[in-house]
Amino acid sequence: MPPNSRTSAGTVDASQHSGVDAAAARSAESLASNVLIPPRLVGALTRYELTAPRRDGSLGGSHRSPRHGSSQDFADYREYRPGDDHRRIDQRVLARLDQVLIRLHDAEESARVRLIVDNSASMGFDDKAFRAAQVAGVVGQVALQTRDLVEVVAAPGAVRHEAIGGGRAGIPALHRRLLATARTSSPDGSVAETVSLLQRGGNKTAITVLFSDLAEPTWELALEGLLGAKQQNVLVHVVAPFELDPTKYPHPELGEILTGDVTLVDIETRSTVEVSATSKVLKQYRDTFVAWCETVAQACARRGIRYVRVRTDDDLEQLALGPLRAAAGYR
Amino acid sequence: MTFANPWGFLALLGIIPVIGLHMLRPRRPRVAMPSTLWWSGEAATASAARPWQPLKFSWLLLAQLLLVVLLAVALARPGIPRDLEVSPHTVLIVDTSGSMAALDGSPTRLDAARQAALDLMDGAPAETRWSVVSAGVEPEVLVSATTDTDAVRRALNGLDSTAGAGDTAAALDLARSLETADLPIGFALFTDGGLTAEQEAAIPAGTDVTVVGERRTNRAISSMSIESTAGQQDVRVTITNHGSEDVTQPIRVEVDDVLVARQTIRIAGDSSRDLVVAIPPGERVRAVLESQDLLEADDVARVVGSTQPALTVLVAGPEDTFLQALFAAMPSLEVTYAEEARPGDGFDVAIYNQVDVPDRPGAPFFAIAPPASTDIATVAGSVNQPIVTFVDGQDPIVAGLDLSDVVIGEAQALTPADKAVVVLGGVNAPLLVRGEQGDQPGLVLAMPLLSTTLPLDAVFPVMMGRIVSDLGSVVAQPATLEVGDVLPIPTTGEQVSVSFPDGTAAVLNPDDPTPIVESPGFWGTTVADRSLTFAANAAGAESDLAVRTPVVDVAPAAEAQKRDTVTDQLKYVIAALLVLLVVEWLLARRRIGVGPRQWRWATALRAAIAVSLLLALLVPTLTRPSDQVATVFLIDDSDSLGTPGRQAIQVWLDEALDASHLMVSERWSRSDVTRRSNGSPLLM
Repeated sequence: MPPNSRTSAGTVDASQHSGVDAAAARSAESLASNVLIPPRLVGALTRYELTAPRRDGSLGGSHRSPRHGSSQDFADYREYRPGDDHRRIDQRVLARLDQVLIRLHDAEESARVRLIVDNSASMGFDDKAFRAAQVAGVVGQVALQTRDLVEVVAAPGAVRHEAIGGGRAGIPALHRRLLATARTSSPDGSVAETVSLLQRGGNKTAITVLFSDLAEPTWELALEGLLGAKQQNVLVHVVAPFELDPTKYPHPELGEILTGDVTLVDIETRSTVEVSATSKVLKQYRDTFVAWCETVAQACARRGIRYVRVRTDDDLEQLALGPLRAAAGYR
Repeated sequence: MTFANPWGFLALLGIIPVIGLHMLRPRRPRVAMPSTLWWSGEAATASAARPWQPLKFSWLLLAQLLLVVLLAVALARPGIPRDLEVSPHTVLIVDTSGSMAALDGSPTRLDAARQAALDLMDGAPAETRWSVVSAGVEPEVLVSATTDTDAVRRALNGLDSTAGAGDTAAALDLARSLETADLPIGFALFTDGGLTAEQEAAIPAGTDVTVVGERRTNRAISSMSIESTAGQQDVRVTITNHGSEDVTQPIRVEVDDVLVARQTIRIAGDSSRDLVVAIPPGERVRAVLESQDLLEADDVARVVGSTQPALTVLVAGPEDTFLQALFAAMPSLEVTYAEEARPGDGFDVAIYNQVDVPDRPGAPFFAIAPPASTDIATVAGSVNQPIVTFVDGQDPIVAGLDLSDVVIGEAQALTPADKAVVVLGGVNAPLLVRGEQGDQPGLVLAMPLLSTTLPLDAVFPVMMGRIVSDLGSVVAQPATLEVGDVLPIPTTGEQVSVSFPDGTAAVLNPDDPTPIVESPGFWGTTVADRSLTFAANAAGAESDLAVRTPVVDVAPAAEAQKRDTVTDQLKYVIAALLVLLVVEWLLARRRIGVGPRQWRWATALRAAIAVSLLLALLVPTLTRPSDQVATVFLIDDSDSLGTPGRQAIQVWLDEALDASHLMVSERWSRSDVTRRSNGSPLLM
């Protein structure tokens, strides 16, 4: 296996079925690239900042907030946006230059944005890990542009790294870290446990975004874990088209519609299920999975967690400027 | 339904592995999934740890079970017992006598008989052996115990009717001789009836007789003869109407192809009428019925005119009806009758009937029961009811004649002279002795004609003709011949030139067999510048076209043999197997969980089975040359064969064995087996 390939703890024995590794191999092709987000999209995202509230009540970074920061040291101007406190408008500049600018102060407390990226074995299916890293990169870039600190956490395992800050200058480091996270499969464990562990520890996190397929029985506990502190929580639910509708989309490993008597191998738990993949059975599965996705969305809604479903075949730019922006709260 | 090989049903054991394969859990391909959480409800209930699963019905299982069953049935060689019309070895005896040329068949009776025989073949099993015997003037075996139906059809299509009377009895004897030990034999006779009681009795019991022909209306020239009176030559033509209605019949008479007379006469139904026409001198006299009827061959008759040189014969002795009748039918003879014996000076032949032979006969003579001894044989008493046990097959007088039916009441006890030769004899009782007296060749017959059935036998005119011709060194010309008669050939030991009706000619050596008159017309012989013409007409018995169904005994055993015949059904089973194999293959294609390699092997196996079935259906044969074929020649090496016969056989064998090196022969006389190298004589 190449050194930069994603290692999957859930990969089944290659002697049993060589095709099981094929998905990981294709995912590795994407991960082998050092470009996480196309430069054009990176450029398009430069004018966005997070708008989420701060857990401790301070104004974090340049977040739009009804409350003032404690520092009086002027740092910079920025354009006024709807929702900004009118009292922070620099009246002098307005009078002299007829421009509405907001005064920024260095002494403002930087908020922490936590990006929990699921890199379990199931995320190796159909490039879900790479897609999760891409979406995390979008959110992280916006956070950096908001002068927040961005913390990338791989789950399961809660591998934590030093938070990345420095505004826009931190974007390359963010991309490298996300790529490294996506390339490395986490050891066996539960995403829910990792989330709960992180949130119980207490921090000043303003926003926690979980990027996961929630393909584990304890997925609901993961949602509960996000509720440990007053913050903005977002769930980016990453799914593959085949998972949504196997009657319409080919299996990424087989390259064709699943049919016949097959043994399904859970690449995370290695458990097997024998299935006669008839049209009727596939439709029953599809209905079950879609209903489960709705259940997840409803569970998030009940808990105040913003929910966005991301498909691996979605256009990343449209995703970043559309559903993801609304869920993550940047503009 | 019967099965020739019941052991084939052991193949039904193949059901066990078929069911076992269906109970064996298929090996499923493994497919990676991010999670199986949402598939649990759709999973198969069977545990993957057990290799077996409950047997479930499937069309594929049904097709494969049917395949095994049909394969077992095929191996058991199924057959259906049939009440067949033919025996395993069937001899087709087709009447080719003159009446079979009648035009009330399709178009002829022979054609109808031929078609009936072909129809019989069409409904018979392929393994039936066939023989074909033509029941014509000279019965002949055309095909013997073969399954080659093409050869049988060629033989049937090559049949042609002759204008002679069919020798049905001889044909049936030939048919019987074809019986082989390995197969039951049956006979199918195709005829228009008209058999004599003797012929009917010769028909084997159980013979299937197919009678062809419908009508009997026919007109024929039933006889034709020359009557010479006081320098006037007339031809008497007798026309017979075999129909029940009166007819008006035009007739013309030709002499040497020149029309002499044409008349129209009315003939009542089922009656005859004579027509006498004065004709000029000429050799070839012909009468022709000009209207068309059922049988063409008997519408023309021929007779030889009186231009032939007459053979003078002296008949001395009491009046004898047999001799008079015989010589009256031989116009080429000029016969002089005398009551007392006298030398035959001036005659070509002298016949002494129950009178003493003069010491100097003056001419070659034939003595019939002479009261006194001659130089040829001494008369010493009498012999009661001697039986003919010896016939000198090399003597031209009795060669080829069947005298076994001749009955003799009382005969003279003859003692042949030293140089005399017994031509015909019983046990210690010479009956016909050849010798010389007074420098004249002569023959002595031991019994008067009234003491024997010889004058009533069919061989009598032939034998008398031979005696006259042998003694007179010429041929006594009979009035007419019938197709099937033996052509009278002089027995002078010289070559004879024979001219046939179609204008061709052939030269016969003294050792050649005597030719049979095979077709009507004028035949000719030439011996030492002496030419004779013979008129040959269609056999008169064939003109009566009445169809009569012969009575044949039923043989229960033969009928049972026919019912035992079984028609093989293997080809139908194989055809069903092929169809089922295709269906099974299509059903198997829909199956899932079979790897590509496994499927390729399965398809190859099915293809091999299909090819094997096709080969079984086509039954290909591999022909290869072999030098292991033995030919056995059965050779009659008895004394009756004679030196010329042995020489002829030797020539024939040399030609037949030209390319071979070894031969095994069975000789009737010694019943030994001879092995010889190529080139060494066998019979010498």
